[in-house]
Formats: sequence, C-alpha cells, structure tokens
Amino acid sequence: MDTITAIPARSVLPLLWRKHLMLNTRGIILYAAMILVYLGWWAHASDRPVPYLVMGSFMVALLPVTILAREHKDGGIRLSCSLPVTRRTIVIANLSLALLLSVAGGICMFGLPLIPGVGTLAAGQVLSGWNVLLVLSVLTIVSLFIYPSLTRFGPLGLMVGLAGMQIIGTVVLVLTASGVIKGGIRGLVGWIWGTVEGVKGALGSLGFVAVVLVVLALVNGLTYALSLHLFQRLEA
Amino acid sequence: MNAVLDVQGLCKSYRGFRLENASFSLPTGFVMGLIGPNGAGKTTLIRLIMNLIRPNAGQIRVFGLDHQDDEVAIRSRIGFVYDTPCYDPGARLHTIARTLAPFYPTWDEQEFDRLMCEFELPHHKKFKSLSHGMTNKFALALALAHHPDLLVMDEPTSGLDPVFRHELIELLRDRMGDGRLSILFSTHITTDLERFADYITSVRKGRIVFSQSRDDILDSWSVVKGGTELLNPALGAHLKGVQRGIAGVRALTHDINGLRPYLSGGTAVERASLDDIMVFLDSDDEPATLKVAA
Repeated sequence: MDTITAIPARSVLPLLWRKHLMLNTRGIILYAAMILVYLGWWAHASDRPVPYLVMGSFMVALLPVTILAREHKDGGIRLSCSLPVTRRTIVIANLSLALLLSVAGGICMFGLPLIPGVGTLAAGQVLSGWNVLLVLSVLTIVSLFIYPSLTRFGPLGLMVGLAGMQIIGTVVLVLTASGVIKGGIRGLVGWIWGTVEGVKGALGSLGFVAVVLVVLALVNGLTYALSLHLFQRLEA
Repeated sequence: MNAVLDVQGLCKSYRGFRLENASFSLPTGFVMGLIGPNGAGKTTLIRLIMNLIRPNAGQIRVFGLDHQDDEVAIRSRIGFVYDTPCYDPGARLHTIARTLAPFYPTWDEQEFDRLMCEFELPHHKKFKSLSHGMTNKFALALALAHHPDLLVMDEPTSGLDPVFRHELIELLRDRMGDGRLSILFSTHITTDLERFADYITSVRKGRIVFSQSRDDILDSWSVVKGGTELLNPALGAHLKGVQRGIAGVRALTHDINGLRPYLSGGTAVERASLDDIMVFLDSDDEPATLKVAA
C-alpha cells in the first residue's frame, strides 16, 4: 500500500509547542503577569536574594503547569493523543516547553531586581553562578514532584504532586518538633548548608558544580522517565 | 482484496466490561458501520483502533501496518471524528484548525474552507458557542481537510437533523468516488447504515455478533410472525428475541430454512430490517414469556 511520510518527530516538537501556546495565550499572559507583579513586589521589598530566588523559582516552575493541566480538561489530551505523533514526542514536547518557559521566567526573575526603581538588590547579589545553580536545583526538584503526575492525571496530578511536597514538609516539621532533627528547622537548614559546604570544600568549586549538574541532569532524566512511563499508560 | 483495517482477537477489560476476541476486517474503499446498544463496546473498539487505549490481547493492522509500531504513519492517513468534542471551548474555529493543520502533510486549506462554507460554520466563532450538530460538522471538516485514506467516526450523525445526515452521506459518497477512502463509523441510526454501509459489524456486550456485508445480513435474517407454535422449545435454537404480544408471537431467525418444517400455514416470514435485528438481538437474553411486544 502507498504510504504518506509523516512529519519527522523533530519537526513535530515546535508544532506541539505552537499548539499549546496558541490555545493557551490568555492563560500564559495572565499567569506570567501575576508572577511578574509578585516577583517585582518581592524584588522591591526584599534585601535577601536567596528567599527571593527560591520562591521565584517555585512560581516560575508552575507557569507551564497552567498549559499542561488545562490539556486534561475538555478532552484536549485525547486530541493530542490522536494526532500523528507518539506519546514519547508529546512528553518531550511538554517537558521541553516547560523548560523553555522556566528559562524565560528565570531570566525575568534575575532581571527584575536589576531594574532601577524596582529592585533593591545589587547585581552582584543576584547574578552569581551559585544563585543560578540554586534556581536550577529548585526548578528540578519542583518538576520531579509535579510533572510526572501532572502528565498522567492532569489537575488532580498537580494536587498529588503539591500534596506530596506538603507531606514531606509536614514530616520534617513533626521530626523537628519531636526533637528527632536537632535544632528545629533552622538546625535542619544549617545541617543541609553545612553538608553542601562540606562537599564543596572536599571537591573544590568546579568539582562541586560538576557533581551538582550531573545530579540535576539525573533527576531531570528521572522526571522524564516517570512522566513517559505514566503517560504511556494513559487511557485517552 | 486489500484490507485497510484488520482486527484480530482483540480483547480489552475494564471493571464491569470486557471486549472479547473481536475480529473483523474492512476492505479498502468500503464503508463499515458499527452498531450495537449503548455500552456494547463500539467506542472501546474505535479507541483501540486509534491506539488511544491499549488492548489486553489481539492485533490491529491499519493500511497493513501495526497500529502501535507505526502509529504516526497510520494517524497521518486517518481522519478521526470523536464521540465527544475535545477542542478547547474558548478557542475560535480558525485557531483550532491552524494548530492542527501543520501535523498533516496533506492538509488542504482550500478544502477546509470549502467544507466550513458548506457546513455554514463561521471561522471566527468560538467552539463553545457551537450546537451539538455544529461541533460534529466542525470535527468532520477537520477530519476531511487532510484527505484521509481512512475516516473513523464515533457516532458522527448523532445530533444532526435528517436533512444534514442525508447531505453528509452524499458528501462522503462523493469522496469515495476514487475508491481510496474507506470509512468506519459507529451509529445508533440504522437507516444511515442501510443507506450507506457496505459492511456491518454488530457489537453486543463486548462481543462481535456478526460482521458481514450489508446485503448478506439483510438476506440472511428474517422476522417470523405466528402463533404460539413458535414458543415450542424445539425451535429455541432457531429463534432469537422471541416476543409474545396481543397479535401473536414474533421472533428473529438466522436459519429460516431450518425453521420451515416447523412452521404452520399461518406463519408469516419477512425480511428483517437492521432495526429489527438490533431490537430482537438486544432482547434475546430475557425469557420469551416475559416479553410483550408493543
């Protein structure tokens, strides 16, 4: 039988991005505006870059969620699954779009404090390799919790991911309150920071950065593998 | 004859439902209608063919290709009309079309415009403002705009008025002129099947009751009308869906020749319509004595 050559997977990625962006333009603009106002207010009010970047990263990581969660509403996921694309390509498109939007959000996050009249932080306080590493780490951890279940279950999956993070937070609070973790939350943060500093001291700055990047790459690989595994079992 | 679609031994289990050992074949250039009551397994079959759900067992070949290994090549050549709309309700029709068109190398913008015009669908309208019938028309315009070789439609005529149903069938007949397009569609409306389908596959409680050419089906099933002699247990094997009413006893048979020796002079035998076949088969499980025909 004669066959029609389908569009190659590489060319399909931008088409899937385009579909998401065209169908979610208003949602993206609204959420992006909300994040910008929030980050702008924080950049103006805060003199500490780390909390600003951690919370900002968390919000930026949720930006693509508006698109992916919406796809599960109104049967949109069935439409995607009936297009001439594989489920693997859909997962890659969704995660890479999330990455692109997070990068765009990250650029805004680093840029806002440097705008005269908006930020109170000095450029040197915000723009550092360590801060970039911190932002990448937060984005990676949040993605691990959110994207696999979001890809499979939609808005319900998002709730599951956020609930998972809440449960871990609650367990940590209980453990610190009961004295299992000594020194409370401050002690825990101090312990993590001390461990990080210890590893950094042992490996040297360059070695530490390399190890962190490899770990982040592995965690992102795990996010992809879990998302693909769950999405391939989706009954659309 | 080349089969555009070949389904063999297909099984799928859900809680409370099992599709069992479904097998049928659709030759290239023909129309197959799937009939059966609600919950019979028609939509499950269509979703399995579209690889939207995974079978527990069995094989599906479309255009001679494996429906899982070659899903991208297969879907490029299929036009799919969903049972329920799955387009963004807030999006305008032209936006939806623009997002989907690039996925199909054979998308024909002029043909899409022509179909939108023929179906009286304004491009700028939001999807959520369409009536049920209009959503079906829009889905059909999208499905046909890339000149598919196989059109798969789940209940495409539900919600459409009889005039448009007639026009739709004529439009699809025109499209089939070159013998390239094949159609698989599910429906409850048996008149559409009698008018349009070359092959009919009946699904009931997850099993294929028959899958034959329309003419073979209409030639082989008969409705028998007579007196209480039809309630003779010896005829049980020959009769399906026996109905006892004020006017006598009615039943469906697939074996009129085997039945003839038992029939009295007052028994009438009529060619069964698809409606008869569906209704009698649907009522076949219950004891005959409990049924009273309307």
